[in-house]
Amino acid sequence: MTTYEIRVQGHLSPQRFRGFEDITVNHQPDGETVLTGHFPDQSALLGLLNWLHDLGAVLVSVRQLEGTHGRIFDK
Amino acid sequence: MDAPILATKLYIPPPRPDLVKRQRLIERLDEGVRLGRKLTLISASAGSGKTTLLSEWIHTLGAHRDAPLQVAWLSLDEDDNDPARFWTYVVAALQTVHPQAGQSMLPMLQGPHLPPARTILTPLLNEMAALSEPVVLVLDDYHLVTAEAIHDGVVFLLDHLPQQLHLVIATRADPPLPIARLRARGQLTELRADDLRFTAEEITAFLNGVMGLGLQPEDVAALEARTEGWISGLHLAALSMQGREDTHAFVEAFTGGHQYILEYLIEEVLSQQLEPVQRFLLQTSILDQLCASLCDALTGDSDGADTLKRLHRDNLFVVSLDDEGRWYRYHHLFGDLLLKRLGQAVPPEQRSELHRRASRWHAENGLLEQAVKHARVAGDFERIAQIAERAAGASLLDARLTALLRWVDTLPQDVLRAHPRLQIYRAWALYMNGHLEAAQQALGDCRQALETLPPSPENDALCRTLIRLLDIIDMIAQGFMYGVDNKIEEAVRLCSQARDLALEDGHVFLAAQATEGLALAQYHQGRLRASAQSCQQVIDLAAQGAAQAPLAAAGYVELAGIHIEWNDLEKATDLLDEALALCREWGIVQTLNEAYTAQSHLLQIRGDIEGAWEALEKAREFGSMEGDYSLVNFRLAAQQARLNLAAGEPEKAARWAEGMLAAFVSGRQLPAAFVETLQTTLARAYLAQGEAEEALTALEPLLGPAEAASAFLHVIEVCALKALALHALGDTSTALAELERSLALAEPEGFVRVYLNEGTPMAALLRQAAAQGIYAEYVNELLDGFRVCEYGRVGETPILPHAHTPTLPDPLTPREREILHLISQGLSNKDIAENLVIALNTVKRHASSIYSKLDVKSRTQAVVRARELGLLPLTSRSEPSA
Repeated sequence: MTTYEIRVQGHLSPQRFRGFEDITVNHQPDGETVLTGHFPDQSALLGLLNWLHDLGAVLVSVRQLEGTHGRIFDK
Repeated sequence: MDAPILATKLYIPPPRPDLVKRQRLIERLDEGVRLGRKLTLISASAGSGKTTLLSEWIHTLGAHRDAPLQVAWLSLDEDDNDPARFWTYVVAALQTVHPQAGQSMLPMLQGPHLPPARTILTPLLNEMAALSEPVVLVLDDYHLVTAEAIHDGVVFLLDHLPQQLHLVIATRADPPLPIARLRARGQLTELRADDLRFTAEEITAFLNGVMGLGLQPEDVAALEARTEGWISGLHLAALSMQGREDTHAFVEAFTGGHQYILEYLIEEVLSQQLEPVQRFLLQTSILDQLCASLCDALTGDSDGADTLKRLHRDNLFVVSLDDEGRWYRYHHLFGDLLLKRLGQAVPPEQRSELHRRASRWHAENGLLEQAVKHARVAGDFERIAQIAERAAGASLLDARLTALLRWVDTLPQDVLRAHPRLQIYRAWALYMNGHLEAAQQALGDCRQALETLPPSPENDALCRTLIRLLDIIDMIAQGFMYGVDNKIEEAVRLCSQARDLALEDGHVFLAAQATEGLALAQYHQGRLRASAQSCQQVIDLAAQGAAQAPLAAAGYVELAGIHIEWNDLEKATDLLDEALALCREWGIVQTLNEAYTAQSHLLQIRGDIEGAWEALEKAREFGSMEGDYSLVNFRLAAQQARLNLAAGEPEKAARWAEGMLAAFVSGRQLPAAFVETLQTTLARAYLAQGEAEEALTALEPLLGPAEAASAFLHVIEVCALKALALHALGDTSTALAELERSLALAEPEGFVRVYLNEGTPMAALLRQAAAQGIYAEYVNELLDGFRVCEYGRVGETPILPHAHTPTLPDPLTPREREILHLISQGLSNKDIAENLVIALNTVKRHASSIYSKLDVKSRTQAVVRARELGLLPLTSRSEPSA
């Protein structure tokens, strides 16, 4: 399991994440939503990213919180 | 115009002979099913061997299980993001193992409005729960599904999955399903990239055993490190190394991520092919599925069959899609890269030409969806217009125009303008799908387009034909609107004229639709007999074409409504059954809604209040999406108000009517027929609450406009209600005058229910009319009607409390209660048959059913037992009350 933090523009309702139950959803004062979750591998992470994409959400950053790779994608 | 089911999508890929056995993974898959888990998720990037593993597992299932599992397979593609198509294919997949599976849900999937997932899936889940053998449903390439509505449906499926069904999802990325919850509850078997990766032993077995490369251990180790056990990488590497001397140098040469390795290796593999094969691969890479004649159409050669066979034999990433070796597809990863290379190697205009050829082949072979898709990629909108025009010519005859709308709506304005015929079809499709305003707009646009056509003999002829077609459609659309809006005579005129013109031109479907509008207008005129004749004509016209059943269904529902008014409940029941059967068979959701609404009314009249609410619920499930102001939804709400009134909740009925009327006052145009229903509902609610003055006030504004428009249906009803209000206020003579006015219009057309529905107060008033000799014969018939329908009077509590019947293990039907009642009055079977206008044998059948339900042997015993059970009043004869 690897922990990732994903930031998207706008405040997404936590109810929309019913499919991804171990994701925590935090609304930031700057208008972004921060999603934190544990993913077994890249296919799992990609699942969430694809879904955000289908939703039309604008991705700000994807960051690995645990592990050695650090920031893998940043805007 | 339904797309044919492509059997290739349901084909379970056969295992390849050159496989490395993956026993440890097979055991994990077995375990998931054995432990009764709900879902097996195989989630890993492209080329990880997901499909291959499943194929191997399925083909070993029979070998080591006592009862072989049945497997339904569905390979998904991008086009499956339409929920109706998705579930149609799921049913088709299940039908490969259970031919009858989901048969009842198919019609719902074919209508213009898709019901919610739970409505579609519940019957299927019930069927699955009843199976004796477990079934595995495999959804391959689930990552191609992006439609939220489909995910919702699959979540519903998982939440309600019966024991007998196990779901397997193979995907490149985790789907938005409650994976974590299933995992936590031990209902999930999961195979991920790490699990699918080839181990060192498997790599050795594959490279040296299956591919016979004879690599040194250090090269095998290097390949394992470079590819991370990624199967497609290893596969491509092995293909590249076949026949190569310096395998060691080759292994040293590649490194990097999957994508890089892949491109490098595909380059290698391609460069080993002869030039014609390379060209073949590139040119056919635009196809989702390949067959020999389609490939030949693209390449212009004639060796497609040989090439495909050879590619398959050489294991060049070609997957066979059937047992006959007819259809193939490229392995997705390989296909994607070929397509990318095509983009680099071939200029756009040549690529478009390939798509044009593909479109032509698919159109010629009846695969219109694919034909449209390729035409769209080629940017050839003219082609789409031609395909749609041809398809529409056939489907103007049936009601399934949804696909046509979808195609046409992607066309640019100038192409649409150049195809006036297509614009007319589009307007008609909009109209048939209930988008009246958009249809009107489209019709206007068509006229304009026709006027701007440059004059020429052909164009003039075309114009004449099309304007006539336009006129007919226009008249029908107008006629329907006028029919419910107090412009009834105009509606009758337009619909009759449209019908005659359509018949002259041989547009049977349009003629039937026009006649339907005529029937509706005549009904509002209070001309029940003429309306019934028109309904029958709709049914007869519809019978002339197999694809016109939807219209027949609508005709049956309208006709049932008339027979309800005549209090011929048996006939109405038969007609509604006919309509419901047609609707289910043809998936006519809108008419299904109307039929259930009418059924609710019918059951209410027969005293089956519970059944009436159930029917209303069913109607709601098939509710239209057109909002509260569509005729369908309005009728449904009006029936609910009737049930509210009957249940002694007039305030609920009043609230609905007031809400709708308030919206009307605030500027929304409500058709007159709607206003009439709302005001009379309000009047009934007032009467029920003892507020006769208010009832009169609600009724007063209706009469003038209705009479002026000769909407006599409304005059009859409003006068009857006015009479009740006046009677309640003690003004009997004015009340009788109003009643007489109502009866004078109602008598020739045989109205019954409009009086019976008002219950006891109306019976009292009618008895006074009879005493004064007002329409004595007719009024006495109506009073007889009250006697027969004693048990199920609308608007008041039945004399025999409904709650008593369920004490029988098998309760009596309303018809049986009716017959029991007549038996108790001493009528012979023959008298009963005459009284109810049914066959003597039917009475006997009902009687013997009553005896068996009451567990008695004779009429006398039946009456005694029924009194004990409270099914009959304790007195020997029941007189009409009040």
